[in-house]
Amino acid sequence: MWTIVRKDLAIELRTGEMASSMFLLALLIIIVFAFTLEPERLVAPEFLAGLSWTTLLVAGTLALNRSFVLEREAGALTGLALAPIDRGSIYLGKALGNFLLLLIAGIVLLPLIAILLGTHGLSPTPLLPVVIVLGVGGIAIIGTLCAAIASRTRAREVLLPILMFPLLAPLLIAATRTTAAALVGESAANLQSWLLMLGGFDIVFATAGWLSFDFLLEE
Amino acid sequence: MQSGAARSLVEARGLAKAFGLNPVLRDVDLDVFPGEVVAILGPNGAGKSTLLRILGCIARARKGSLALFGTDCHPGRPTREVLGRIGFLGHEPMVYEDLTPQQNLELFARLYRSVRADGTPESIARASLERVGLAYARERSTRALSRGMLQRLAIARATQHEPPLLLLDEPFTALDESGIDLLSAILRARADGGAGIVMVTHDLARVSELATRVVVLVGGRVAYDASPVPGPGDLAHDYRRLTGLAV
Repeated sequence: MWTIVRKDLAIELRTGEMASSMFLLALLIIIVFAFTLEPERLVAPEFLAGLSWTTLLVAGTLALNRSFVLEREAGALTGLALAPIDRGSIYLGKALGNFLLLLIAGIVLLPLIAILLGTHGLSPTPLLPVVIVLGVGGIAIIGTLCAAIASRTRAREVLLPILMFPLLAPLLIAATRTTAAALVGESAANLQSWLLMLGGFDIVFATAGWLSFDFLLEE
Repeated sequence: MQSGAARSLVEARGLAKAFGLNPVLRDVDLDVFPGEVVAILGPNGAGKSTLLRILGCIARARKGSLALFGTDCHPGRPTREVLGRIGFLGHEPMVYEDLTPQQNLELFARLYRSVRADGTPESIARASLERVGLAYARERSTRALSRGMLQRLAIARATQHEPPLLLLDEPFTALDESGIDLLSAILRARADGGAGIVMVTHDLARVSELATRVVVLVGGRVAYDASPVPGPGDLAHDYRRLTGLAV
């Protein structure tokens, strides 16, 4: 698994394709919202949370798509499938690589959103990073699985969001609600059920991806 | 085919495969023994590449059985031990174009660590690149390599874990004369060391030079299976008789 993560990070360090395209698209979305909505609506915690997760999801879709395009180029994924390793670990390695990239994007974008849209009345709890890690983890886990499925088709760019967005809807609702609550300093007890849902979601889909990836690699 | 009690590397029985309603392989039997070099010939669409992909556990047959190294792989699934003993060279190089040749081979050396651990991934990759004459391009972008250089890199990837079974689909494609000689020498050395080799090719001269057995597929069936391999003239004549085509 770590070999796959290391390979994906090495490719991203050489090309910077996924990070740059994600960042530019996310920046564009944030700027459009910052200049088109009334200031009092922008600083509402529910809006900030919703905008943050939507931006991360839309920008992340580009990266997730690209992560399997490079596996299909020159048949590299077949080379991985032939290796004497657990095929599920290829999935886990890809998901972890995507998670790290999305997490870095989140760490860069969230302060940017706060700076551009303002932070009046916000007092984030220490649980906010936990929410971000669980939410980004869910996008990476489901997104990687859907990207692997979509990459087998010619209409991969269209198919990925069609597959991924409905599956991610419950996670995004939970992540947005929890982020909004965490931004205004709600107690850990109030966030507990949402956090458990996010964590459970991640574990269930990571297990499903790990178990099913062997079949996804077959012709 | 070898006689005696030599244990077969490949034992395929009644393999069949179809794409949609189009049958590609029908009832193919094939055994490959250590030291054997089996050349598979046939017109386009005869099922050669599909057969090779089934033997390499990349594709699954619709019917029949396949055992590799005495282990059932179909029905059933190949074990990691079996996968680690196969070297596969396909139409695509199966490498990452955004990595350097050195990085690509280091990656595959790490993935095959359970099979070959007699050096560091760096040293194994370095030695592989030297063996295929690509040491000078070690740090170039793989995307910038010519087709022939890419084929050399693919040969290094497929052989660097020293597999006892090599499955090669048109391995001489895009290679210049020195590349062809190099690959021939590698294959001869591997076969002399006891590896079994199955190669799909249209190059009759190489078949006569390297192969110990020749199989011709026509319409997804084995139409010809000869060992020892006839001379190029006789082989071309037999091939024309079977397929109505020149090689």
